[in-house]
Amino acid sequence: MSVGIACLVLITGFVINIPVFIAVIAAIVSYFFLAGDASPMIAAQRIVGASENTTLLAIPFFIFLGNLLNHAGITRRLLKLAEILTGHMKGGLAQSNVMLSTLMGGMSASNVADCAMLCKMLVPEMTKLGYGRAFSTAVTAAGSLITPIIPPGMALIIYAYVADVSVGKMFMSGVVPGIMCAIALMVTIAIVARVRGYKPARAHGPTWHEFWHALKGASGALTLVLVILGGIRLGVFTPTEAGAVAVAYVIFLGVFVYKELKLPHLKEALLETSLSTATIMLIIMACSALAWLFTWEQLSQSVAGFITGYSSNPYVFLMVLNVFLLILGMFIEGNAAIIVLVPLLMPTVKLLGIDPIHFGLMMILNLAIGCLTPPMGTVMFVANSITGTKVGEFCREGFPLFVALIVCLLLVTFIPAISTWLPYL
Amino acid sequence: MRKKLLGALDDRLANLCTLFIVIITVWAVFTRYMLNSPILWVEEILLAAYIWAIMLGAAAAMKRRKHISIDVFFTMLPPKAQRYAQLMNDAISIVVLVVFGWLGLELAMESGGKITPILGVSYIYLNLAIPVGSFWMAIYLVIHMINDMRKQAEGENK
Repeated sequence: MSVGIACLVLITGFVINIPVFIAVIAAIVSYFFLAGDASPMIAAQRIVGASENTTLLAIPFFIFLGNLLNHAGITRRLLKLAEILTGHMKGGLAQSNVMLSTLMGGMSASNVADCAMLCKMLVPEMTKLGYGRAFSTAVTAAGSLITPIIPPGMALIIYAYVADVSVGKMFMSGVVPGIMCAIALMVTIAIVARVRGYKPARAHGPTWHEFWHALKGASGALTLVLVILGGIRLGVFTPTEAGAVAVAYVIFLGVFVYKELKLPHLKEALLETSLSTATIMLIIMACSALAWLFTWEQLSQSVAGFITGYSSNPYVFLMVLNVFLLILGMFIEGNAAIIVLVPLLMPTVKLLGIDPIHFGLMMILNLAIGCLTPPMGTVMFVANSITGTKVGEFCREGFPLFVALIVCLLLVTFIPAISTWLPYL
Repeated sequence: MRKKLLGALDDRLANLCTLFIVIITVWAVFTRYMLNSPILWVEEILLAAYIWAIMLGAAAAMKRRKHISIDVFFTMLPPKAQRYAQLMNDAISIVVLVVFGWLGLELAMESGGKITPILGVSYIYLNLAIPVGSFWMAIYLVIHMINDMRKQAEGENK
């Protein structure tokens, strides 16, 4: 009963455009006042409690890192490498765009920030070369969906926290699916480019000299990916420490080696980090208190009983869940959905014998695709507002890319090895 | 000048906490691997700085109306209705934040005896971030409301 009213408060809050974390807090507090058998102070305690967790301490570091990359001159060097490698293909600049997103994904944690930056940087250049504005925007948005899957993605950290699996394993599980998505997008772009006759950006393939030159330019940035991934994989660093080392390294690189990072840039990146960390963490904290409340009410057991009552085939469950999440992802912010849903679904997942890492990666990829679809696609909104594209055009031009990503999602769903092979190696 | 300093106080404090977290963590990694002497109390102080960074950053974000909300349905309203709906939303948010801040204050007062395991710092200093941040956000919302109403009144007089 009280839970029902809490849910009602939550949904009303979402619909009338109250900030997400306030709507969630309102729901929790109203539950405690209505249920009456526990002090409402516990609500405050549960919300603060979520911040007292070392896994989630990794978040500000990777946000900071993402904010620094552009100012430090790393993005530009990576773009050069991507252009040399893929510029001669059909639809060259679109290919470079996806390639750059994938490389950036290895350092940045937030797809919205990545997408905004790439839209400003690449879409004007693409339209100059004769690509449609809507197609360019769709390519950039679809490419930046790879960011949350490739480590260090924020969603991977958050899932590791709620599902109680190791962050390192979760990071590793994203590598293969991330690369797979990149390839799927690039193949789709190649087909579209062939049909529409988009010209390559460069007349010939990379020569050894050019390749070597670009690789040398980007080597500082590529080392960073190896340090983050290698350090965590070998157990040298915890994810938080890897984030700290990476931030220190990027500042060093930007200030002393590339000499592009100046004090005003640092200040700007720092403020941006404080703001993003606060808005994201408050949602996480409020949502984990809500998830605790659902567990307290033993909703997850009811969910498990309900689902297994229909079918005990794990693949049927995953398929139904995929459809449900794709619809949900259109309306709800992905990280919030992970925090609330994972504790609810975990007993079912374990009962059906699904690997939590496989399950998590499927869920993250699914919700990432939700960022691309109207009406609540955060990435789509950011991209469209920067480039001035209409939602309708975006959907039409983005459709083939959307299909490619759905195919990847199905592969990840039905072939657990794609996500579990590397972490258990 | 004083107003400017005060206006950016939340930004500065939040930045300070974030910067502190970054520097301490880098330093902790350095001492652990290079000097081979891990600092035991780092985790405690980091988590305390984290909650303050979050709550102060939340106030700074509220000042800029940067908190994430779901505005699909909201933007369907005509502009005039949007203005009234915004005032209503702000009023609701203020009530929720004040209640939450109050609960946080109660929690902080009751946690006086609870101390962190290594440094022995009272949990009051951690939990106090909740009321401070919440009330600060509520104050910004009141300012937003007054500004919006003033703008509306000006618009109608014209």
